[in-house]
Amino acid sequence: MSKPKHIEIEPMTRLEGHAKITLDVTGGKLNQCHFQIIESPRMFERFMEGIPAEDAPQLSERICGICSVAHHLGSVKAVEAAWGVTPPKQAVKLRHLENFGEYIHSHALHQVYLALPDFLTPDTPNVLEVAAKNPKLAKAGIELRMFGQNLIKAVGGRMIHPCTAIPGGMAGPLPEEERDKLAKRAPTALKTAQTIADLYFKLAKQEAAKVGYYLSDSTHYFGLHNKGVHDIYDGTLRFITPEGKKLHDFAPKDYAHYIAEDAMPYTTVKYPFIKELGPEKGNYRVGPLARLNVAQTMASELAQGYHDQLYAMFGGKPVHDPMAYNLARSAELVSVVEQAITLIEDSTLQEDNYRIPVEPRAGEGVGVVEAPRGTLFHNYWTNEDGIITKVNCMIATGQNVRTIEHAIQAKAQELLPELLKPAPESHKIVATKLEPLVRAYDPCISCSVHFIELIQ
Amino acid sequence: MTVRIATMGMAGCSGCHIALLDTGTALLDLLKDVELVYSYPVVDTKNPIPPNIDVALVEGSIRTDHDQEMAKAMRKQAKFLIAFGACSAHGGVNGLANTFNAQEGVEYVYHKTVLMAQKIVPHENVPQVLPADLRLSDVVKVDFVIPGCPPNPDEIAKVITTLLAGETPHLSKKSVCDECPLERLTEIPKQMRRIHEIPEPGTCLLSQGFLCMGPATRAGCNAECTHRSMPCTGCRGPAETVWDQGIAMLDALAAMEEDQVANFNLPRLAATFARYTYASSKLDNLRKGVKKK
Repeated sequence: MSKPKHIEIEPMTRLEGHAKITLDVTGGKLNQCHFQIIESPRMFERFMEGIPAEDAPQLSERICGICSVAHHLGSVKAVEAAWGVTPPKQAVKLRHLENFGEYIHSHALHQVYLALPDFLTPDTPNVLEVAAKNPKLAKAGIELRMFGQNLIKAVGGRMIHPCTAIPGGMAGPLPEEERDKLAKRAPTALKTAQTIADLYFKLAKQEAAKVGYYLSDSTHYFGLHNKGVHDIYDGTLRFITPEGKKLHDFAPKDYAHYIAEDAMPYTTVKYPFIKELGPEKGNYRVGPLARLNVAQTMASELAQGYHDQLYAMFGGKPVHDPMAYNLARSAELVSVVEQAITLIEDSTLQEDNYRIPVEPRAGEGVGVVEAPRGTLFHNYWTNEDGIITKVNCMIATGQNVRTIEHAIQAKAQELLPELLKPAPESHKIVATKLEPLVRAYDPCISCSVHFIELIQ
Repeated sequence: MTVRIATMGMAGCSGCHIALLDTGTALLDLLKDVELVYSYPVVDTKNPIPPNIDVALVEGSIRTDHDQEMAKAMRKQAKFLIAFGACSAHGGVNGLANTFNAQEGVEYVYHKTVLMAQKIVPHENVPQVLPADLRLSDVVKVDFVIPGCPPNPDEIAKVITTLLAGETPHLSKKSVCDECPLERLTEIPKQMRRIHEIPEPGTCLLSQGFLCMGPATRAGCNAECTHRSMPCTGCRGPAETVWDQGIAMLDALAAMEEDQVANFNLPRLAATFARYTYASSKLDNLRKGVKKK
């Protein structure tokens, strides 16, 4: 009997945030395998207690530098819900546009910088290598992501941690000169989004034999939809069963009736589940594939084509294979560029109806948006001066962690002899065989543990 | 010889890494003559940190024993270490957690929360939370600071290009007011206003009573926020000649007729006047007992 062996491989790479894989092996058998999130806690929910609620959108967005727009908007929606404010139509359109900008940046980041190297340059999987081999594609991908960042800046004032969403609306319109610059670049952006989507569908067909290479549970799915149409800013929340049946449709404010959370001793992330079904049976997934599984149709024409292609390939809804996450993300990338173009052309965004006066007051409000990685909740309580007295947030990535862990454990078992080899061989196996299972979900680990929740 | 560059992240949001990518296609030109030897979002290098690093960019503050160890490990390998962004430079928004007891806060999370089904505190092989949030220079020697939440992409590119040319980089010595498009402050306001109130367009936000941190904050951002009629929140830390960013602004308010901050509790005071600098601010007396290394 050989000695027990404890292996830690860190950091997990081409992911956003800090995680490691730990393996405990005795007698050549895998005893334990953990996907450990080791992100440092930053305790936002705790230190936001006592601040004026109108400051929350610019403070809570610092949870995440990748999806700061989602936090910024989820936060302002929560304050408006607590104060009973309905922002003007123009402001809501501007926020939609800003969220489209974020999806363009974030999805392009994943599809081009993080995941593409696994497929195009598997021997040296990094974006610089992709750029050396296919400079035209890399440059177009970088410019597409920058189109998203410029869109965020045009609406939000800054590319990362925007400053313009404020209870009652937005701090300003979409400036005309910004609109003109965006309109000029939009056709190229759409073309690039289609090129990337086509490439992923092509790769998926080539890899068709390897479907199942990405292991997965059959799970429930969760996401926002607007009367059955894919929507990332407003709508109704829906759970569907692993068989694709509707389980629950509910308003965002009722989330605590349907969802509960667990903690594990070995990781700092929390594990949400469907309350009535318990942690294992009630496991569910969020993000691009979940949103497509939950909705009936896409909100734009070209994206609908990719959506149909996806479900034709896998034989109907819901699809469980995590490889389909890259395809669903591709369809969404096309969709958000299409929808952004419609709004850039909308002349009401230059009007002066972007903001109404508000009165701070006591209340409770839930703000939900779909972040690129899944459904995001901000829930605030305020006193009569509009000061925050309590905060609860639930982050997209945590909702996928249980499924990611199951997949990693199964794959590590299969690859054990290779994982026991010394570095750098074992490191390469982790980066190219285990991490793609995690990467498919594009987890935002930075986000996932930045909360300290408060006493009820 | 090829210049070897590394990047790493501590307690932060990855936003500084994204700001580095926001240099756009300029990044590809920047990286043409350098080797990126360790950078979790881009290359697959695992620990240990490789040796002989010429320039290291460190994002995030020091919040756990793991952060502290990694900072020291990077310092050992790096000839030139840059505190990259507000958290690393000044403690960042994470520093607002220094207004309460850290360990108590951690137990709070996992025991008594809105959705929690059972009471488990993660303890197996997870990083230990330090008593306070620290900036990078509290644990290792730092050679240069790029401030900002997040840093400005043009400034990042400029600093890296200057270093690659073998020269010493510099930050702007001006304040955000010097880059602000609004008409400058003419009088001290009598009453403070909250930012949900709608400002007059075109005139100084501070003179209208909104707490704009511009006068005490280092320039270099092109006053992005005040361009959109939103007050500066001070993310780039103290301007060159400012001793303490928060105290400088409190001092400015002292000229008002009434005490405007008397009813502020500690988190609000910190989040208002030292949102990104509390961990390194003179306002903070809570770091007693944390050994400086």
